[in-house]
Amino acid sequence: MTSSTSNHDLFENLRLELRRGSLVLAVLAALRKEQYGYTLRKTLGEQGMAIDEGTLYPLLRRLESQGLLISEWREEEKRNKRFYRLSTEGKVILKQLLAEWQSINSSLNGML
Amino acid sequence: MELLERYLRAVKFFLPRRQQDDILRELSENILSQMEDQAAELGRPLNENEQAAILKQHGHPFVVASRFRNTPVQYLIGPVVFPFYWFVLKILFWIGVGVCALNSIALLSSGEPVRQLLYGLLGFTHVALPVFGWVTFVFAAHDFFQAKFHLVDKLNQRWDPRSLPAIATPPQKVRRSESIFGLIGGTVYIAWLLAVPYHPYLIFGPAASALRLAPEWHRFYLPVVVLAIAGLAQAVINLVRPEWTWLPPVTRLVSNVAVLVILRSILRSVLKANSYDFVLVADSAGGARYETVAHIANIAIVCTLASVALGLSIAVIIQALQCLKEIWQWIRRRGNPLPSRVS
Repeated sequence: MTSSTSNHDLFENLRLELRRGSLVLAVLAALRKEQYGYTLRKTLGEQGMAIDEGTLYPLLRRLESQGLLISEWREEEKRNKRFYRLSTEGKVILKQLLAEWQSINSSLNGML
Repeated sequence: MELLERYLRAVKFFLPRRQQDDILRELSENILSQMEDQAAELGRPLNENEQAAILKQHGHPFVVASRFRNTPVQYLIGPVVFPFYWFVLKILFWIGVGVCALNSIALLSSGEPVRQLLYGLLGFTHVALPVFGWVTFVFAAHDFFQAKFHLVDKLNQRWDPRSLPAIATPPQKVRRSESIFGLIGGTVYIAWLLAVPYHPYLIFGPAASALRLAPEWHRFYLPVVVLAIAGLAQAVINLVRPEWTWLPPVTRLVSNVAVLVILRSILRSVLKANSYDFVLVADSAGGARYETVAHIANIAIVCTLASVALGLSIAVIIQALQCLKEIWQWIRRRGNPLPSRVS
């Protein structure tokens, strides 16, 4: 393995780690408006927060089981789809997480 | 969409039974939406390769299902306990290797060394695998209860930095008192050893008139005296050269290895002859009473010798490591006379 490949792998791992923490925030923020899994993924991708299916769909179920999301099966374009939206508790948590994120952001800006 | 159905069926196999239908329904809808989206972009239905590419993007059925599993503990031994588990396994492994190595060295003198050596190695795996299994079981159980009752959190709350063990500084010299004690103890021991053949009372006490040592012991008498003299010599040398801290562990190691060789020879002759007459009834005495006493004494001696041999085998391994450490520290001290300190 060359040094540049190793550096690239290291950067990729660190980048994914950095993004992983922000994904929950992005998903919660995007679900202030009701969406189903596939359209949510598209929305996140368009906003520059691409996330693969294998991560997003289990994450949605986890957030729902934690009470941060509410889901509902509904018919759209002649097919049943599961729509997710932020719960009341999810809104509170999102607000807290956003404040935390902004605090981290300003701290980092101060350091950089 | 036959490929999608096959894919979903494969995912279903790995999913928890209660959630299978719900997860598959949602997954199926999301994949179908993606396929329809792509078909609309292309203006035609997707061919099999294009469908396969989308499914491949989602991942192997096993991987996809594993991401939906919401089990809190997916490991047998967690990261908190794992270093201790690994440490214990390594210690046991090296003890096993050491015992096996000693055994192999001893077997070299037997009639069929290669065959005995192979038996020894097979024996090691027979013992090592169950030991590995039991250690893993114990640590896995510990980890389970530790997670269930939050034992680490409780320990962390009660922990006090002042309870940490003090840093042990390696001794720069063998203590004078230790050498004097060794000198006195060694002298008494040698005196006792030299007196025993003329005064059986020193071994048998009041039964000395009725019991005597078997001739077997005469073979080992001289080596035992030599070992005792070696111990005494070490105490004398360390009295003059207290900075030779490597000498006591090296002497202990050499003595214990020699004792092991003697014990092995004794136990081998016991097994070979299938009798254990270490103590005999004296010619002047007679009667069933003394025969019984001698019989009990012989059984006790065999059991003691076997236990000592086992204990010494383990001790020799530990002492060998200690010796290496002592010699290493002694060499370092010679290169740098100032004691190293933690800054």
